[in-house]
Amino acid sequence: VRALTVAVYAALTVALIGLELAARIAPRAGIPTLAAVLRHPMRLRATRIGLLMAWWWFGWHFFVG
Amino acid sequence: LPIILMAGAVQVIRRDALDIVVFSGTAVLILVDTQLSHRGSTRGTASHRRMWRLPGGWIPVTLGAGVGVLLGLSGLGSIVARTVLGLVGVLALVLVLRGPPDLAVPPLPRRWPAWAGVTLAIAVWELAAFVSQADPETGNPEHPTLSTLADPALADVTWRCVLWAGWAAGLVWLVRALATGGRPADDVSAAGSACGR
Repeated sequence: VRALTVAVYAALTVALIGLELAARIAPRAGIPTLAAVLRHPMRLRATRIGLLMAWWWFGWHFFVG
Repeated sequence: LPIILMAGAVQVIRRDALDIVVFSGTAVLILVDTQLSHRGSTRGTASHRRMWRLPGGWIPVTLGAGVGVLLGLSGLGSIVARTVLGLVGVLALVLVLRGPPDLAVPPLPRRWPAWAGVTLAIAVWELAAFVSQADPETGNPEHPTLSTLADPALADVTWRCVLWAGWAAGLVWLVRALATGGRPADDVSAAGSACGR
């Protein structure tokens, strides 16, 4: 079960990297980069605060939490 | 806001006091900021907010990664890392709060659901792992959360420095983007007068 769990995490991580690579290498595929997708919610102040808090919390949780 | 409240509810289940404060504080901050922004826009003062210009290019991001490596070398959970993280968090928040008011939201790029789908899948898998734990503070080795998986890597100084560098570089990139409301630099220059510059 543990191997399956780790495999799913690995597959999803590879999928994220693959999406970014596809967006940059094959723009005709129409997949946006992560930055392009994030630009949309960044237009609103509430989501700006939420995105900052989420990233900061990841750092706190993993490195010192 | 609903996502933060849901994440905050998970922190209540985890019984982590600091995380509860962080998530609930963020929710309150968003509500207060929304109210103040609304009042500012009705009084015509929101457009006079001075936005700080942040340096562009890869140098700040690379410097951020370098600082991340140093923090990784300082040890896991060191007092230096805690202090720097706290101070950087406050500084980043000030920069973001001084950003522009709500901007017109353009249509989402085509095929954005690809990103949303993978991100949602990670969140669901992580939640399933968390729910499978015997208690909120003890990881399930058979279905580990990302935190449980990351612990051995973070105990290794090389991996810790790599992860710190990636996180710190990401923070610099993110704060720069958030402080301009997600607009590219040329767009910000064109709209500079609207921000009081």
